[in-house]
Parts: sequence; structure tokens; C-alpha cells
Amino acid sequence: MESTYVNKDEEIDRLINDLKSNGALDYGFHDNINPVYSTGKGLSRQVIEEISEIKKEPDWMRRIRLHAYEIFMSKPVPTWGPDLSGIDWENMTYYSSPDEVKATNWDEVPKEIKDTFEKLGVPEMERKYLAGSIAQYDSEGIYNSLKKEWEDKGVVFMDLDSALKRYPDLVKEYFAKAVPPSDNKFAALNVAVWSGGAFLYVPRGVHVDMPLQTYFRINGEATGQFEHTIVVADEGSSVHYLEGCTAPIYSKDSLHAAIVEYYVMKNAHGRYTSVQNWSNSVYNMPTKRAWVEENGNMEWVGGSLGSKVTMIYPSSYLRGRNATTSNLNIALAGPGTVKDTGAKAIHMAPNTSSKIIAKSVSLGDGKSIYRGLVRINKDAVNAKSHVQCDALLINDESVSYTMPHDEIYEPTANFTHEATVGKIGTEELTYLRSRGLSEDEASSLIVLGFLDDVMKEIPMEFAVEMNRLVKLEMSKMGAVG
Amino acid sequence: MILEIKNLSASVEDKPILKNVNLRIGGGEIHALMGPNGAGKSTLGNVLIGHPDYKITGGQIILDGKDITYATPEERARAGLFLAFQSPVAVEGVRISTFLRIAYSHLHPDEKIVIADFNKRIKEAMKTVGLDESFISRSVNDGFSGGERKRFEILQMLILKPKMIVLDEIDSGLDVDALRMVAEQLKKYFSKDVGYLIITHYQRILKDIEPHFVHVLVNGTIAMDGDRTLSDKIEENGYDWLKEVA
Amino acid sequence: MIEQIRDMINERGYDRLHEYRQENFIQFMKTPPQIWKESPTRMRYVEFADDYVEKMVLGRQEEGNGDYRKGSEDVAIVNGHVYVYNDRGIIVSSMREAEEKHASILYDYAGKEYVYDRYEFLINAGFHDGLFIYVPKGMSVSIDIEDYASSTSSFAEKNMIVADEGSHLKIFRRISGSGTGNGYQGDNTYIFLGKNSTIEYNQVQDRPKTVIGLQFIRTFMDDYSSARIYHAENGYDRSIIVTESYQYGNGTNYQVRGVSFTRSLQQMDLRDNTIQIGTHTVADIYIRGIVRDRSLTMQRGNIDIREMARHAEGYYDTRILLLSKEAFANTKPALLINNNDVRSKHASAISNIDDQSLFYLRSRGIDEETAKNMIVEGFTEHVVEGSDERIKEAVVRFSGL
Repeated sequence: MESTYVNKDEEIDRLINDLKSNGALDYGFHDNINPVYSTGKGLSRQVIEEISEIKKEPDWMRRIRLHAYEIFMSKPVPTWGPDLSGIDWENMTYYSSPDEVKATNWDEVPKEIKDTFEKLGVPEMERKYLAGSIAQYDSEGIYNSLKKEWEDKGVVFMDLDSALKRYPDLVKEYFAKAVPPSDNKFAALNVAVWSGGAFLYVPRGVHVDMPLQTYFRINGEATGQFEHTIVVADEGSSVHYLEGCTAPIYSKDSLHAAIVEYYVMKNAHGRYTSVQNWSNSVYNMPTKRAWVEENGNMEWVGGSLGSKVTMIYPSSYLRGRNATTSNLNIALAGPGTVKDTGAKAIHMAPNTSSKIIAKSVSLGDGKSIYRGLVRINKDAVNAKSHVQCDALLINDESVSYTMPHDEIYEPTANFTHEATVGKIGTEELTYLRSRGLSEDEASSLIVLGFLDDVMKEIPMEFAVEMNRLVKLEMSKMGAVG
Repeated sequence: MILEIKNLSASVEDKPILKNVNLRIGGGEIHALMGPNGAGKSTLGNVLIGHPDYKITGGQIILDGKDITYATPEERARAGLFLAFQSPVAVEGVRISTFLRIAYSHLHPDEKIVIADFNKRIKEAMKTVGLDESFISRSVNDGFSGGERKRFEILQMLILKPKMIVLDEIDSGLDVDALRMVAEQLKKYFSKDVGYLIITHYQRILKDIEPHFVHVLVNGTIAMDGDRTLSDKIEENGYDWLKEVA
Repeated sequence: MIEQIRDMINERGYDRLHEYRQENFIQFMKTPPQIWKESPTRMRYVEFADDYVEKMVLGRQEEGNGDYRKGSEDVAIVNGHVYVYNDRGIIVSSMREAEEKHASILYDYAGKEYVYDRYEFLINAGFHDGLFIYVPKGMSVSIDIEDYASSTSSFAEKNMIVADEGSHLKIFRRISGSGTGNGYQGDNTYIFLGKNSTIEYNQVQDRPKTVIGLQFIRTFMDDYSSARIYHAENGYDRSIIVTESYQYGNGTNYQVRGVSFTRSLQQMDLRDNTIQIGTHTVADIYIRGIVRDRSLTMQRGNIDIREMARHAEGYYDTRILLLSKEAFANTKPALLINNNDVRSKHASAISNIDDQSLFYLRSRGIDEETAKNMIVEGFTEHVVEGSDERIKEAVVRFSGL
């Protein structure tokens, strides 16, 4: 453990120095790519038919899309949460494909795109840590590589479009099952117009001991991005799936409505980590859900840093006896942004347990909201659940809401929930400053310390990136108070 | 290094606590500041390090000729001032190693830190002050007992190498062995470049480390200055007689 | 039915509170009903429909309950029978009477109201009568209210309790009834606290378990006033009971201790909220619930600390004992914090009787039933600490298996 700490510390030092010497750390760049095909602005049955036609999909998929489209049209925009009136449904492009190129090897990736990913740090991560990688660019997976050893063990890891062509039956078995289009308006939209996303299948007993990763970005003004990801951890297997997002800055609002369906079979272990740093023009409305069977374990680890509005509540449906789940989440609500994040745990079987830890930091007039649901169904005997939400408010005008729903229908269940809200304490700040740390450094350290519980569960690259972002945001805010 | 406190007055929540305090502490000098409970001793410590809850209403604090009356806490620390807090606060999630390294890099900007060496130094110092090595990866004061917190304050002094050191009730909450260790380290660290201001209610620590000057604070004012014999007199007679003098 | 209520309000143009009623009626019409589901599986935790409230507003207390008469005791009021309090300037009367005699006080305080619930608007628009209490500056008084109604009657009442500057008021109110009728009974109870005034409000609610109930207890707090509210809720078939502070004054202190009991098929939606606006406000809400048989208890509580409420503290703590396989327990606490100079926390827990405690008691020779009762009683003990003895008695009675 010691070496990890030292490494992390080195990184933090380096980052502090970076911070001092270089203000231009933001991902405020985007490149000029002309999509070769786009369905134009707006959505209709015609557009859905077109998408399906272009992709040469099986008929069942076309029918699911059309069905989902009807649901999408019939559901109102949710009004119980943040203001979504800024989403410009009419002027959005629902499908565009950037290029015909599909690379399996870094050298074949077009230079312009490669430059962007290099700035994002993808190649380095690939070298150091990743077993395989699909980088999503606009609406299509364009970069796809998979280490041979996993292929030999029967692991399937490719973009969902390719998987639909190569393993149509496998995809059909899992597509839109955990997250049906009827779940919510944005899930319906995704099922109707989905494009890209990953398909990962880990066969029985196979342990993928390195995290598998994709990197998402939105590019193209007012382009909606609707990737659909399916992860299946078959009986007794284990897998860790990582997803990172950064987005260039645009003036127009853009919508991101992804779906992640995670199936954790009997005795399997699934983990999903994502760090999201969309630019602050993006509406980020994903639906992420796991089905966890007997003795299965599902871990969600998430960091929501960017976007204008994020609404995300990763859910675990504990369907089999002894199924367990944990959900660790960090949300950073910068000035002018809303993070409506949380978690759901649905206990449907005996001896299931869930743990939810959510930490939020609000800066400037940023608003962070915890919204969660724990439901313990009747007959989920001896189920246990603990929810802990902590919020830190940096500035006078910062806002934090904590709104859990707890529904317990089983008397042998044990449920506890705790939440705290506070600001950076004068005592702590003075103590650190009395040892020579500047106010910025001291407050950054306190914020990172506050996030530490969750941060230590996040892979190092992501943690480093989160550290950097927290520090950047803090330094942008100037004096704390 | 000279610390000059000139006509210093300060208040907490608009309530005046310190009134025209004068002190002058040079390098190679050990001063003791004594006084009954509520005299304003800890206020002085907090005012010296620039705690924002304590408002200076008059006078000056000068460190090595530089006016630091309204300096930020970090400016004071970087100028060489160190306060061992009476009740050090826990800073959850901030690891000791990180904290000390960042602090050190500010206090000694010209020195290059090799992390492995620096951590070794911390571990050695931990042994010296009687803390387990494993503390290095713990958070600052988080879950520490009162005694461990005091030991950690002394450790910080050893690592960060300040020149003007204010010790606020360093002897409270320490057992006999710990107290001896603290006194021993203070004596070892002492040099002609280092000045101490030992703030204490009791005389315990002054038996192990002999002050050159003794000042008595009563009702926010220095009621009497003297030498070692003054602290002996207080031990015999308590503080009451001073109130008449003052 | 809505037309009937409109006509009823319009017909009573002579009514001194006519404009007030009209305004509230407009607000009711303007406030949209909640369209989202409260839970993925339920539209509402406790189903409540517009026509319930309409029935309340169009109804009356049954004959014989409505005549207010004077008494001579220092301790007053009995179900509609109001004692005008001696000559110290304290007013205890019906709302009707207050409209005639004290219209200016009524209007002064109605202007301080802060209301946003559509059902509450409707009660304000169409209430039949209620109780008016006014305690003049600097006065101390203790008043008992016996609020008894037949289960067959439907009605909506509005009660106004005004404690003027520096006064101290203690109230014990028993809300009970008889029979097994299916009445709809609504009640807005508004407490207005002047500067530096205090109130201790004790409420025992034990209406017949066949009645549909709706109650809003609001406390509007001026500078440095403090309120201590104890409520034990045991009755009604289906009910929504809202207890909320409106702490617009600086330095206000709002304390709530509540216990709820549901059994058989009862459904209770208990909402204990604060709205903190002034600086240096404190709110501490502490609720316990015991849920049996096939009943449902929902306990929600918002700590709503507004932008200007610097140096605020807000706490909400709820625990529910779920004693039956068929029962539902829900908690929905929320912290709504809009500035950073705040200390706030909430906690909720739902569990059964702790096996270890049960075992410990039984190992000392106590039978299981008794042991359980002891644990349930212990569970509520902290809540009723410091309350009126009659609250404690009621809680012990309601705790019994």
C-alpha cells in the first residue's frame, strides 16, 4: 500500500505545480471532423427507420427502436428534478457517423482524432493499464482493440453495433432487458436511436483481472450521443469495466442519454467505474442499471464532474439470495451547474445487502442533489442497507439538497441512512495554513480529504484526474468563503 | 530571530480579551507565559498565528523586523513562526505524509524533497516522539488520542524546523514519560537561533526546561515579568496575590 | 363540487374574511396537482384525492358541537365549547366570533401566512369555523383544548393561535372522536409567534380509525421566538399530517418531538418540515414511528435552509420500528441547503425490535410480550421527555401491543 500512497502523493505534488504554472489545463478543444452521414435535425419515425436501415440491423431491433420511439413521444419531460427546458429537442441531430474507419491498432487511427485522444491521455493509459479499449467518437466506435489472451478465453469486447452483427442472439438476450424503454423518457430515446456503446461478455469462471475501458466524447455541435452498453459477467466470472468521459466546450446545449445494462450472474463479481467530465453545455441523462443474481456482487464507482445538468442514479436490482452491491459516488457541482445524482438499491431476495456512499461538493452557485431509493421488498429477509451522504458547500451561495427515499416492506430488514452538510471548517483551514499551506492548497486538501473514502476506490489515473479537476475548480473559485 | 509583540490588543466575538500585551522574544531565549484560566493565554497563541476568529484591535506583531500583524497564517508560518496548538483539530482524509511535504516545500522552498527520503525522516521522527510508523498514512490528527495529538505537534516542529515556537499548553494531557520526551526534544532542538514561548497554566514542564524569562498574564494584560523565581513563587502561592499587584 | 365551494364562498360576501377566502381559492385553483409518482411503484404513499378535501370544506360539525359557549374556568375550551378567558386581555373564541370582534388582528396575522399546499389553500378558502386564541404581550397562559368530533361528520376547521411579543403559551390539545363513521376531517392550525414569545404545543391525536384526516400545523416565527411541539399521532384511517415551521425571524428556535402509531390498515403520511429564513435559526426535529399489522407509515421531513439563513442549524432524525411482516415503513428525509454557513444533518433508520435487547430482557425472566412492549416504550421515551404528562400517558397507551 505504501508505494501507492507515495505515487499518489507524487502525482498530487506534480499537479499542484502544474496548477501554479499552467492555467490551460481545461479540455477546451475540439477538432474539425465532417460526419459522413447524419440524419439531420429532429426526430421522427422516418429517422428511426433510416438509422436502422443504415446500420442494416435485424428486424427485431428495428421494431424495438420504433416501439421505444412511441414510448419516448408519449412520456413527458420529467419535471420533478432539475430544469430541463433548455434541451432543444427539435434542433438536435439524433444520428451521425463520423467516418467509415474502424481501427484495431493505434497507428490506423486518423491523425486528427488521435491528436484529440492524445490530449485526453488515452494512449498512455492504454499502454500502462488497459487490456482493451474502444474509444467512442461521435456516435460510432472507431477504435477497437482487444488483447488476444482475453479473446482466447472467450471474452467478447467490441462496440455494440459490431456485436449485433456478429452475436445477434447474444445481444438480443440482454438488450433492453434490465433497462426497458418504458423506464423513463431518456431510456426510451436511447433505445430508439442508440448508436455505439460497448458489448462486453465474460464467460463462466473467467476472471478479467485488468480493467477494460472505453473513452467517450461528444463531438459535433448539438449532437446527441446515445451509446448503449451491455456488460455480462457470467456465472463465477469477474470483470471491471471503466468508462471515462470528457467533452469539448460548445456554446449550444447538447444531450447525452446513455444506457448501461450490467448483468451479474450467480457468484459473479462486476465493477463499473466512470468518471464524467462533460463540458458545461451538456445535459447528461444516462440510465445505468445492474441485475445481480445469487451471491453476485456489483460495485458502482462514479465521479460526476462536468456537464450543465447531470441526472444519474445507478441502480442495483438484487435479485438472488446473498446478492450484494456498493455504490460510491462523487459529484462536483461547479458554478452554474446542477448535479442530480444518487443511487438505487432494490432488495428482492433474502440476505441481500447494499451500501451507498455519496459525497458532493458545490462550488459557486453550483447545486448538488442526492436523490436515491432503497427499497427492501417483502420477503427480502435479513436484508441490510446503509446509506451515507455527505455534502460540502464551498461558497456562500453554494447549494446542496439531499433527498433519499426509503421504502421498507420487510420487518427483519435493517436500514440506516445518514446525511451531513457542512462547509470547510475554519479550524481545519487555519491549522493547515499555520503550517505554511496557502488557502487554496489547504482548502483543496480538505476537499480531497473529504472525498477520500470514495477516491481511494477509484483507479489511480481517474483519481489523479479527479484531484486535478478538484484543484482546478478550487483555484478558479479563488478564496474560499 | 526576534518576535516582538507591541501593545497588542485582541478580541473574540467583539469581547476584548487581550489588552496592550508587550513581549520580546529573541533567538536563544526561552520564555514562559503563565496565568490563571481565562487570562487570555490561548488567545495570545491563536492571535500570533492569525486565527480568523480572533480580531486584533490594536498594536503590532513583528517577526524579524517584518510586521506580520495582519499577515495570513501561512505567511506567518513561512516566516518561521510555529504554534503547537492546545487542541489540534482533526483534518479528515488528509494524509500526514502529504500534509508535511507540502508544508515543508513552502517553508524551505530552496530544498529539493525526495519523497522516499522525506518519508523516512518522518518515520524516524515518529519513533523519536513515540508515534507508531503506521501513522504516516493516517489522516492528520484523525482518531488520535489527546496525547498522540501533542506528540504529533512536536513531530511537526522537528520536521518543519521553525525558528520561533509558541507552545500552547503542550504539557496538558501528557503523562510523565511523554512530558519528559517533549522536554527532551525541546531542549535538543533549542539553539541560539531558536526562541520558545511556552504557554502554561502549571509549572510541570518548567521543571524540565528552565525558562530564562517568566511573564504572567492576568485579565489579558501582562501583570508581571520576572525570571525563574517568579514561576516558583506562583507554584507556592498561586495567582491570587498577583491580582492585587495588578 | 368545486363549483359548490366557489358559490359558497361567493354567497358569503358579507364575511369579513371574504377576500382572504377568495385569494386562497384562487391559489388552490392555480396550484397544479402533483403529477409525478412518489415512488416507482406508487403514485402516492397515502392516496388522497381532491374530493376528500372538498367534502371537508362542504361539511359541518354535527349539531350540538357547533355552539360555542362561555365558561368561567381559567382552563378553557371543549370541543367547540369555548371559554372566553377572564379579563387579562386573553381572547379565546370561535373564528366566527373573532371575525366579528377582532377582524383587525385576524387580518394582521393572515398577512404573515406562508402557504403552498393546494389542500391547505382549499381549507383556508372554505373552512367553516375554528378556534381563535390571542395572548397579549408579555402574558403567560396555559390552555387546554378538547377537540372532539363524531366520526360521521365531515368538516374543515381553521385555528389561529397568536402569541404576541414576549408572551408564553402552553397548549394541550386532545383531538379525539367517537363512532365508526367515514367522515372527512380537515384542520389548519396556524401558530403566530411574536418577538421573544414562546409556545409549547402538545397534541394527542386519537380520532376514530375510520375517518380520513388532514392537518396542517404551521408555526410562523418572529425574531427570537421559540416553539416546542410535541405530537402523538394515533388515529385516522388515512391521513396526511404536516407540521412545519416558517422561521422568518432571526434567532428562532423550533423543536419538534413526534411519535406516530399505525396498525390494522391505517395509512399515515407524516411530514415534519422546517423553512429557515432568518439568521441564527435552529430547528431540531425528532420523530419516531411504530408500524404494525398491515399499516403504512411514511415519515418525511425537509430541512429547508434558505439563502439568507446564515449561521443556521437544522436537524432531522427519524426512526421506525417495523413490527409486522405485512407493514410498510417509508422515510423520506431531505436536506435543502441554500447557503454554506449551515450545520445540518439528517438520519433515518428502519428496523425491527433488536433481538439482542429482547433476549437480554427475557433472560431476566420477562415474557416476550412484555419485553417487546418495554422496548417499544423505551423507543419512544426520549421523544416525550419534557412534554405534558398527558402526552406521556397517551404514548404509553398507544405503545401497547
